Amino acid sequence: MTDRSAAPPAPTDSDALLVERAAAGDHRAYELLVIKYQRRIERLIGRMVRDVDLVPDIAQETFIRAWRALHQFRGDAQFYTWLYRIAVNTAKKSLMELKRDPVMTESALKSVDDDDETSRRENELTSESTPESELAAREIAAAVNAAMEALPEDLRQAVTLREIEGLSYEEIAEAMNCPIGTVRSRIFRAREAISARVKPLLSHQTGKRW
Amino acid sequence: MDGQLSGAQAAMAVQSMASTEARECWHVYHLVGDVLRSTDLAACGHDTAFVARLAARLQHETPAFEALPALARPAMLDVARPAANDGVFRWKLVAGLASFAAVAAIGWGALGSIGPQPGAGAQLARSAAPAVGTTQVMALAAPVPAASQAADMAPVMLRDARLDELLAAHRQTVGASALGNAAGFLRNATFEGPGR
Repeated sequence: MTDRSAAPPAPTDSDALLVERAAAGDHRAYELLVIKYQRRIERLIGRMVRDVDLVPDIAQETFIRAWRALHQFRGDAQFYTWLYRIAVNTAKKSLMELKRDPVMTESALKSVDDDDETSRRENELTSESTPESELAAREIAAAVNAAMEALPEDLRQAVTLREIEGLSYEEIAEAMNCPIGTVRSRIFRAREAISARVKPLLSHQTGKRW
Repeated sequence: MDGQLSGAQAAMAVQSMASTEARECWHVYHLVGDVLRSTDLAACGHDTAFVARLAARLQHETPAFEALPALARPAMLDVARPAANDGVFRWKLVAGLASFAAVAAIGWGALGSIGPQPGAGAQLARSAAPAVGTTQVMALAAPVPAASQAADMAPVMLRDARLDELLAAHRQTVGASALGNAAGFLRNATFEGPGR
């Protein structure tokens, strides 16, 4: 299980369409964006507040604020970059409000000024992590990696170029010297094969995941 | 999910996300992508209750621009529209012409202020005419009128004897700098004569 966080971010071509529809009032489009970015936003907030009880509420507030401010998003930056700043500001504001609360836990304020997503040590156990969640995360990561290893070479290469290297379909077709339709097919089959290994793990996790 | 759809196809795809299976597939695909990029994202949970709670809150929220007419809506994602600072030739041309016009205007103004200005002399000549009952004393810094120019090649300070006495009296009481320092910027002073 290697961390590839230094790799280019995931392509966000689809965000423009979803954001446009969400800005027009399409709740469903916005929910898809929420599902897509909830993990990253919660990880970011979890690194700032380090209190598992605060993370979902701050994440909720982040997405609500983003929804209210969608008309201000002009598409100059990526949607996640914009959402990232909202999450940081929301977490800071929440911590400042909690700071005035005497029952505020000390751990929640531990790193209020630390908004760097990569600042935490990789395997640092915080209050966000529980033994169960750690085990589940390792199982998911192991399943994904095992599924990747089991893929045929062309499928593995296609999904790697797409998900890790961030290439477009056209660039992948050029790199693999095949039609773009073949690229679509390979990426779809690779995702289906990996998902087939991951879905059982998700359904077993306290029944609240998808 | 990779931005390969557009227009009606994309709209249909979003509409199809109403089903639980489609949303689960959307979630798992993105989870796989996240885990491939960073394994610690596998630890971040995703639950239906979070989205359901958010959806319930969103029902009471309205984006600010929803009430606006379509024409007033901001041109979001209109990244194809050239900005004023883009490296487009026509913007550079407009900026260059504007700069040239500004420099030309400043240069024209500077050239106009250099050299003799006949209008100024005439104006001084008119304003230098003595008024009835008053004695006007002028510190001439500009060219004198044409009538007296031949006789007065050098600047001449016209003084009135009574004004000199007055100045001398002030010099005794408040010092030599009372009007001496002001003479540098004094251009026109009026003394009320006894005729008033």
